Amino acid sequence: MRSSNPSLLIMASLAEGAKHGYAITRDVHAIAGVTLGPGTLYGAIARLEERGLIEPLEDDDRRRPYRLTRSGAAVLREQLTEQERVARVGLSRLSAAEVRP
Amino acid sequence: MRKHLLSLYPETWRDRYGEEMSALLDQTPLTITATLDLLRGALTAHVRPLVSSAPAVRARSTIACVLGCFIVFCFLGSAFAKTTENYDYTEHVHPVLGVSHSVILTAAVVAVAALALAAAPLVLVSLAQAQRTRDPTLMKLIAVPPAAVAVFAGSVGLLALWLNAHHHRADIGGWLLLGVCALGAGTGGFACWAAPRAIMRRIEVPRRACAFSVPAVALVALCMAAVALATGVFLVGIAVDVPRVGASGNGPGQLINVTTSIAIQFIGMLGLSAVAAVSAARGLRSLRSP
Repeated sequence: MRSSNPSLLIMASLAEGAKHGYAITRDVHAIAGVTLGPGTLYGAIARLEERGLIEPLEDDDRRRPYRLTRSGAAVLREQLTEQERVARVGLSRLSAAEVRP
Repeated sequence: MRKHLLSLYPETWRDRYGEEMSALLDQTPLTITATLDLLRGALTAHVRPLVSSAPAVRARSTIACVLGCFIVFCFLGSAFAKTTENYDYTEHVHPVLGVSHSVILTAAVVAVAALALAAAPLVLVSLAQAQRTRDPTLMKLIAVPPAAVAVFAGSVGLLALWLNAHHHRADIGGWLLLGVCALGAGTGGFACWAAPRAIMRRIEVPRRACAFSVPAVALVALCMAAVALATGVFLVGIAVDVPRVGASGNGPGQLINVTTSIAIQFIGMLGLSAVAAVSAARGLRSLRSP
């Protein structure tokens, strides 16, 4: 099962550095195997921007790059840590179940 | 195709993200999935407008949205008036039908009056700006709404006459005439919405005008909801009180019965009044923002 939370995927992509829409789409596809449609991508970008989690930089031709804000980085860290904790617990339980007869 | 898809997004959205979305679309193939994704995105953008939009822009969107809903509502209202014109719905004969019919008529009159009130400050502002700037496009646009209303009302009137003349059956010429009338009504209705919207985009709408027009269009939305609910009550009344009337033929060529016809009108009215009410609530909220 792949992560399907576009906001989280976009923030994870921007954790590497500022990117514009097309670069985010390509990066998300590379890291998660998910293709974000243009409507989904900009819907998520708009909400993230409104919440102050990402911010736009100066236009590069017609393409506008975005970067993660400090609060965006904090939210991303919190969410990924939570996911990591759930994944760790789930995997350890699976291992325990496999050991049991 | 790409431009048309982006034009489905709200104006505030296009102003903010249109250019970069267009750049993205230039770099990616427009597949069916991407097209559907854009359509869903445009719908979501209308349902959840950008919080960062200026209050005047959001107020303008509200006025345009309620006006659009009201014009389509008028089509349905005209169909309802035509469907119910030949029966006696006075309160002493059929109380439920009589009361709901009276509510529909009263709310319709109040809605038209409220719409005129909402339009008044915008008309004054646009006339003043046209006089001051001598902008020829604005002057032409100002002339469109009265002509559009005339075409719309005239076409709807012709439709009603056509239905009276071809009550039971029509030949090919009759159906063609019906098509022309429907096309005229559709074009007039579209122009009634598009011209004021284009005018509002060209003028600087002062906050005072918004503070007057937005509550007035909220009243229009309220009246639309009242008409829709009363139509629902009327529909139940027809089905229960006078089932013989409800089962009689209705519409062009008597293709459907009265109950089905009113049910279609009711569903349409309910949907339109819901969209108008949501938009009006947003517009009223936008007035409170600094």
